[in-house]
Parts: sequence; C-alpha cells; structure tokens
Amino acid sequence: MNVRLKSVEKYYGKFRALGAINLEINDPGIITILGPNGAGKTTMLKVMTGLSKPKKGIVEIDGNNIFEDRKKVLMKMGTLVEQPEFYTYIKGREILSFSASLKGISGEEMKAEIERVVAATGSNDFLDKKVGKYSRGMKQRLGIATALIGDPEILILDEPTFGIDPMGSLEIRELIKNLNSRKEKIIIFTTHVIEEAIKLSDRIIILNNGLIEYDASNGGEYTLLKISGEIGDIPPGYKYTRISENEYIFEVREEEIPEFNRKITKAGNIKYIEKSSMVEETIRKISVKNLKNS
Amino acid sequence: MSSNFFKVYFHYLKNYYRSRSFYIILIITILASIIISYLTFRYSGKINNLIPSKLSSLSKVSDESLILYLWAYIMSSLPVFSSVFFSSPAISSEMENRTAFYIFTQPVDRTVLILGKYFAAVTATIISILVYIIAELISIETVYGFIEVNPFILSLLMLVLFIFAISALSFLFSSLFDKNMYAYISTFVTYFIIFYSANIALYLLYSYNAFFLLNNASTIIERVYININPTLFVSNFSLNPAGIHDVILSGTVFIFYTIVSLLLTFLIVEKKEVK
Repeated sequence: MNVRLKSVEKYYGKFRALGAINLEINDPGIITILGPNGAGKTTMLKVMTGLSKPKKGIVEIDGNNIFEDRKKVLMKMGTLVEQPEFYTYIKGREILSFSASLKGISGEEMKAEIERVVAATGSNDFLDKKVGKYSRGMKQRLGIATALIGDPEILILDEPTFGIDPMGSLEIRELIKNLNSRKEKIIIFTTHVIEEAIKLSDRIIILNNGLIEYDASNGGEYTLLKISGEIGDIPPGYKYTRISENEYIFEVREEEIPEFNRKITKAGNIKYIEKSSMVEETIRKISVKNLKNS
Repeated sequence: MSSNFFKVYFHYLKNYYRSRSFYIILIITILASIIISYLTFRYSGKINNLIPSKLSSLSKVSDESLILYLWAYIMSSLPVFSSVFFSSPAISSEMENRTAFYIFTQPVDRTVLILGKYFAAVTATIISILVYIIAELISIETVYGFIEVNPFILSLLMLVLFIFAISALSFLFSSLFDKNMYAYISTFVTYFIIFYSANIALYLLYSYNAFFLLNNASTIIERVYININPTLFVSNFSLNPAGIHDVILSGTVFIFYTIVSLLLTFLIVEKKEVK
C-alpha cells in the first residue's frame, strides 16, 4: 500500500496550482497536509483521487495509475474531497447503501457495515431523513461515513472537521486517531489547524504556492530549539543552523529534548533556550513570505 | 458492469421520481391531458366544424384520425420539456451542486454512471408522459369505442425513440457545461430556434426537407395518423398516414442522435475535471 506522486504539475489556466510535486507515502499512518488558503492542498487531493488530471506527472496508488485504473484504485480508497454534497431527495442511509453496494458489499454484511460507520461518525439521528434537510455538519458526518464504507486501506479526507461543532470536531479527531491505532491505513488529511496536525500526525507536509515547503517524514515532529550562549563542543547527532556567533537553532525530536538539554548545558554557558514547533515556524515563515509577496 | 449499471440506475431513478421537477412535469402532463380530453369529448363528431375553410380538405379525414393527430401533436412536445427538466441538468448539476466530488470518487466507471443516469432520466420522462397516454386511450375508447392499434403502437414506439434521442442530446449539452442554466438554455435554443429555423430556411430556400433534424423527425409521432408536417409550410401534404419509409427514416434519425450524443457525452465526461 503506497501513494506516489512523480513530478506532478497542475495548472488552472496559467495559474500553477501544483508542482512539480514529488511525494512518496509508503508507511501507514496519518499524513497531514497543512498550508495557507490556495496552497494547493485540495488540488493535491483531487489529483490523488482522480478528480483532476495533472498537466504533467504520474499519480500511482499501490502501483496503479489512478487515471488508467480509476475503478480499481477507488475500490481501495475512501474519500471526502471539499465540503461534501449529496442528492437532495435521497436519504443518508440510501447514500451509504449505494456506496456500499458499489464496493461489492450486500445483504447482512451491508447492514453491519452501515451500522459500523454510522456509529463511528455519530450520524444515526439524521440518517433516515432526506439529505436536502441536512445541515453542513450533518453532510460532513455523512461524507466521512461514506469514506469509511468498506474499511478502505487509504483514506483521503479534506478538512474533515469543517462545519462541525467543537464537540463534534473532537469526536472526528478521536475517530481518525482510532482508525490509525493499528497503523494499517494511510490516512491523508488536510487541515488549517496546526495543533490538530501536530497532535494527530505521523507525518506533516506543508504546502505553499503548490510546492512542498516542509516534509517531516519518517514519523515524529521536530522541535526547534533556539539557543543563545557560548557553546564549546556541539553535541553530535543534531541538525543545527548557526544564526549568529552565539545563536543556534537545533532540530530535536520531542522525546529527545530532555537528553539534548542535558548535553547542551554541559557543552557551554547557555543563556536561554527558546522552544518552538518546526511546523509552526515553517507556517510562520510562509505567512511572512506570502505577506511580503502580496 | 451490468450490476453496477442497475445500482446506478435505481439510485438516480429514486432521486428523479422524488424530485420537484418530476411533479412539475407530471402536473403539466395532467393539464395537457385534461384540455385535450375536454376537446375530445366536447367536439366528438363535430371536430370538422372547427377546421378553417382554407383547410377544407382536412374534412375528408375521419374524426378519430384528426383527434388522434391532435393528441400525438401535443405528445411529441412533452418529451422536450421533460428532457429539459430531467436530462439537461444531468451532468452540469453534478458540477454546480458539487455532488461530483462524491459520485466521481465512487468505484464505478464514469460511462456506467452516465448510462445509468441516462436510462433513469428516460424512465422518469416515460413515466411522466404515461398519464397523457392513459388519458388518450380512455378518451378515444370512450368516445369512439375503439382505437386503431397499429398506428397507435407505431406512434408510441416513435415517441419512445424520440425520448431516447432528445434525452441523449440534452445529456450532451449538460456534459459541456458546469452550470445548469447554460445546459437548459442550450437545449431549448437548439431545439426550438436553431432546428426550427434551419428546417424552415432549408425548405423555403432549397425546397429541402431536412429529415435529419430532430424536431422534423419527431413529427412522425403524429404523422402516423395524418401525414402533415407541422414544422414546415408544406402545401402538398397527404391526408394518409405517413408511409413505412418515413417511419424507418425518422426512427433511424432518433437512433443516430441517441448513439452519437451518448458517445460524445461519454468522451467529454471521461475527461471532465471536477473543479
């Protein structure tokens, strides 16, 4: 199970929405795509799901080209792209039955599967009403439920908590976390909320102007430690940037911070240590850069 | 493929028959049925008195043929309105209402999706016109005591083929746009302005009967009773029913429109971007 984007470029007229993007997702887990509005997050998901064809490049899911084996690929995939809309005269339960039947699920198995996704998304209360009467949050829950049908190996969720109240958002986050508990799926989701990304993700990708600006691969979130002071021997094994004579920025994994602090205090006369998230720092830099360019 | 086709077909059919559009077209059909039924009952045996003296030759035609011609004349317009309601927004609405994000990410070929939706739209159109056909049968049976089966069946067969053709053409227009309004307008303008003006111009300028135009071909639905083409200023019409040659020609035109329009729709939708 893997997702590969090779030199993918996508244009809307003359506007470059993506590219050239190279991305490989080989390990199961939660992969979050962060970025400001217009960064290309949704375009990337549209390309991955075959909704939008790139001008250049290849999109492969499990070795299959999405545009050549669309049906085969979508069989293994659950998707929620943009804010979901459904046919207004159809009931939520009928939508789920339809999605289940297209994934080859029928009879008692279908009933059980629908019950499973309904329970997971808390959509039982409104499922027998026609979709035309749904609120944005209800449609969002139904959208997530349809994505979960058939327990797909790859889940693609575009801002799954959009339009859902704070309690509901918390439930959806818990749901995503639970789906990842056995680390059997690739769950790709986009969000604007940095804390949400940091709490949930195994890997964070930050997009800006259609390009990957940051990719914390191999799991885990790095923390940036800005250190001021006279350091004799820099402890080995840490990536750092010297920003002035007595100022350094180290990239350290969250769980390694106590050990790093011990080593760096021994190494010199440290005046202060300022801690910030690498993701937050990248987003801040992007915001400043975009503001300057606007 | 066939099992997915039926799943898609029933899913869309459900959405069609529960929709407001379906009930609007049903009401239009019922109103038309009431008006023509009233005419049938009120003027039975006296229908020739309503014919202007300039068209006195029509008085040689039997009362029943004239009435059936009138019923069929209205009947041939109904699919055009139904297809505007059901078929014109078929694909554009997926884009405008953003349901494409859901449906195009389901594991089913886009061709099967379109085909299933197309047959659902055709079925919804036929169901909505069924009321009119039943009213026609009851009125004619009550007033005249019998109905000539052969032309009646032939007229219905042509009607069904016409429904397939006009729905396919509407699907094609729908596939070209992302806004329902453009699809509605294109279907109406093409059928009622472009086809009619081309038909009349070709006939008046070159005495050429443009049999290949859909509106012209659709007149076969009433011409199986009396061979008068209401889309042309033809003086040398025949009071006899249209011959088998005309029926085959119009039937071929319907099939041609259906196949070509659907194939083009499949090609366009296959490459369609969901923005």
